[in-house]
Amino acid sequence: MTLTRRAAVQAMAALGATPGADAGAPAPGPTPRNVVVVGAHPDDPETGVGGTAKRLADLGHRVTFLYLTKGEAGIPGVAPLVAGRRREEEALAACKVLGTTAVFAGQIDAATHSDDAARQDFRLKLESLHPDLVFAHWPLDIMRDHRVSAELVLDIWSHRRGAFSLLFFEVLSGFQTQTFSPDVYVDITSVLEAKRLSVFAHASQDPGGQWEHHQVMHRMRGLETLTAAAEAFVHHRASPTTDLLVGLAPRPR
Amino acid sequence: MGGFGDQVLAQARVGSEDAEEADQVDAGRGHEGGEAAEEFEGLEDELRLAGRVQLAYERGLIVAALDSSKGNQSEAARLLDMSRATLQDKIRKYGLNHDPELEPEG
Repeated sequence: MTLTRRAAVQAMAALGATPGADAGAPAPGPTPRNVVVVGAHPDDPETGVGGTAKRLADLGHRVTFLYLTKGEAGIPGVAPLVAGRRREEEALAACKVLGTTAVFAGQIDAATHSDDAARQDFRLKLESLHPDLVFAHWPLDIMRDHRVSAELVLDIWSHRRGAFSLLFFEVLSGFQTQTFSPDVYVDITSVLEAKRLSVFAHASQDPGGQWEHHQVMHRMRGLETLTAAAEAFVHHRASPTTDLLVGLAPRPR
Repeated sequence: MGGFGDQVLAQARVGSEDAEEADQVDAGRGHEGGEAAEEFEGLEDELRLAGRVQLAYERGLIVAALDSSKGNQSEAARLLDMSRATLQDKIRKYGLNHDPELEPEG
């Protein structure tokens, strides 16, 4: 007997799970949990995890966007410090829309690094947030800052294996994220407008272009799970599974 | 270019001077003794760390400006509110002239 992907997805959905999610795990309890999304620049957490972050925040969980830099190099022709200040304001506005908290790790856009001092500094910042679940950039990415960001998280995770669940997210797949094959999906249909507003809060970053590309990604991940719009992630299989996303899994319609 | 950038860059420049002072302190090491020397060593460590952090910060700003200007040094100097000659000195100081990711585009 051949089991098609569609049949498998429908069967798993009937059990309240998506491929890679934890079937049968309990729904989020009354105690808020700490979720941290580590992004290299303002707008990375929003485009990669914005919908999921909004849904988790709506459930009462504490969601922090930990930005490695303020995007100092991201506005052509604008001085780095001025650009960083503007993009910090954009990030704060985006977080307000999503119900998340912005924290800035203090590195500088296009000059990120992962030497011993940087790893120690970043470890203190991430651990101070006591994360139960961390979202990190997928390490195969054409942008160096994204790779450095992923490396910093992986370094902490490797030394504190088991301390938190680790999922990887995609941004501008094809252009930036490469060879991403997700196994965890979250239905973001109900929060798509909030995600759009958070992306458009980054007015300096061609939000229309970013949104157009991510809408294709939302649709593609939605088609993979028979729902309208989804975000998708890769679970680091050696990290603890998380029950936080089970209730957010797509229900094929 | 706003006053905010000037202020922080000024701090970065002070950081460079701090680092030089820390080096001078380091050079004078060995002439002191006892508790006073131990306290002095603690201060020395702090100065050295602060200098390193601020030097790294200044280097980062220069890289960001070069990235934003696509390697155009005149434009990067304008963004950093410094002369092109000063920028070129700093590029050499930080070894950025050997960084293939920061090659000028033209």
